[in-house]
Amino acid sequence: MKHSIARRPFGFAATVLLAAAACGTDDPFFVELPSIGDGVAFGIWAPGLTDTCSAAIHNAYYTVGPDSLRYPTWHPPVDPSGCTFGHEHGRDPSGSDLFREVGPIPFGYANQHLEEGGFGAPRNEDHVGHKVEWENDVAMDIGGAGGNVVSIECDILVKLHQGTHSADAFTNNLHEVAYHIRCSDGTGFSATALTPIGTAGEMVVGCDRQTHIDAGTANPSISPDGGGQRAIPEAACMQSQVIAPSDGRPRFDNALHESWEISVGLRTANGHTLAAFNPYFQVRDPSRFFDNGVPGLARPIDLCYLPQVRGRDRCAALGTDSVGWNDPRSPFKGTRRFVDVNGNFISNADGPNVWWTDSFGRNGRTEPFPGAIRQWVASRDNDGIDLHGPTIGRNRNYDAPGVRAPN
Amino acid sequence: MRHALPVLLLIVALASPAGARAQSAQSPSGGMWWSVSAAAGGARLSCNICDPTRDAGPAVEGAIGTYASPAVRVGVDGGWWTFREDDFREQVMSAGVVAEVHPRRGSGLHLIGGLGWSGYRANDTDPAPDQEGFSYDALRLRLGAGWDLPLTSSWSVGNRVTLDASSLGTLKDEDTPIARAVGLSVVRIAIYLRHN
Repeated sequence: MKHSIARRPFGFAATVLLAAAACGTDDPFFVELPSIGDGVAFGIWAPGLTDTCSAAIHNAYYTVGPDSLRYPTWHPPVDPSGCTFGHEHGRDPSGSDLFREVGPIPFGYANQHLEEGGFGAPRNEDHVGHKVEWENDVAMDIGGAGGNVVSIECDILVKLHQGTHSADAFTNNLHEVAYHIRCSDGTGFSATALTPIGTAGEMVVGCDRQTHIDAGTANPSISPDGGGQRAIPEAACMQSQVIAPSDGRPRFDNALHESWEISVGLRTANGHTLAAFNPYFQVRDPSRFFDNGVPGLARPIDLCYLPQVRGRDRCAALGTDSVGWNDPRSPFKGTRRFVDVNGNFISNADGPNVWWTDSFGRNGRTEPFPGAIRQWVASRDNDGIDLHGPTIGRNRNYDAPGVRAPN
Repeated sequence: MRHALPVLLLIVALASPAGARAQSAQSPSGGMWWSVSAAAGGARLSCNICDPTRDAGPAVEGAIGTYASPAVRVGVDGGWWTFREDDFREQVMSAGVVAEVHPRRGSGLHLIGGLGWSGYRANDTDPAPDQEGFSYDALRLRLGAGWDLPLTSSWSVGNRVTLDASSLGTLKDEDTPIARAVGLSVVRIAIYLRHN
């Protein structure tokens, strides 16, 4: 089966059970389950423009979530048959040391159960925005002087739905994150949540990360506010750093730097925080920026055709060509990304490994309930250690044949 | 260990006077003795999350005791080792009972054994008022060997190498346990002055 790399839970049960035994836990994160249906996120992608793979080929990449529903999961941008999907999901998670333990990441698992958990509106996200990043054996930074005393390494595998091609993130602050971490000191958790990032309906100007802009009404309008912020490029950034920079030299990377700074906690029904993390997901080349003065979406590729910008900086490869925002030749496709891992907190020394929360990571209980999301938290406290991670993926570029915005 | 080499060379130079005649430090049973020493030492914690680097720094020790027999000194000892890097300092304090045995009459060679306590502390050099930093306390086993070089009938100098080993302690950060079954080893190369 040529697509078995990502679509099958394939023999995971045995390996996961072995891994679980090695770790001394009876409750592995990933368990193989039969499929009883499809999640909303499954099958929503369709080829367009230059994409040469069929939807059927795309749908062959799936995994079965803890709810026994089928979800799309990571796939390569170019199918082994040679056809292209036109989008990418970041780094192949099968290379992560955590992959055998946590399995393929189901895209849309938290979105799926939002309403069932009691929230009054749906929040579904597109397919192409799911982005995976990981790193093995990450040397962690210990807060204060701790780095001289202890040395902790972690395996980290993360996924955030981070759409940087549409207006969605201007106002909508609910985005799905999957976060897996296992560390040499015993810190470890696997969290999936639909996390509110900053204030609903509001974004922060990307090039100063301070100015808040009321961008409109969030969808859903009842989206709760959350910690962190969505720092998104805005017209003033483009003006000061691309169109009319003080030294005349355009700098797209500075102007387009987009940072989603999330703050997530898994909490029990009585408010105890089981695990918390606050990574920053950053993009260097989004294919749109916020500009209230432009009908529709403002596109950085259009700035390449200004006389003072043409052929310079990120537009250099275009020469005198003019390409559309969704052309694979555009230099703005959202493929240059990295993640600041930041803090990782766990407080579950006396608790079980498996917890069930609502889609927001709250109301955690030890037994499943309607709309519950399955979480995994190691039986450990690490409140004595200020465990911070460095940046991962800084020099990676996930561009590949056929990849184009929307990506 | 970047500071260890020059200190080690100094110790060897001081403790190896040409032509010095080694002798055992045998004194009448029941006589008192005391000693002070300066050392270069390297300390390292051992656990699954401990930094594997053996940090090197200066150490001082003192001991006082009596002669259990002409070939056996017994007493109590205490010591302090430290390492500083930028605004961070590590310290190991130790205390316990010690025995030094001369296995061969007329030889300066003596073997050292001891039992006691080791305490590891690490913190910023200018910590906040409520900042306790890292701490570790455990039983200490001391093993070593030395060589006496007489100066006069009642004074001697010498050099020695000791290993302090501790295990099964708990490493705490801000008084919160972060690792259990932690080991601590301190290697010292010392010169000493002893009054018999």
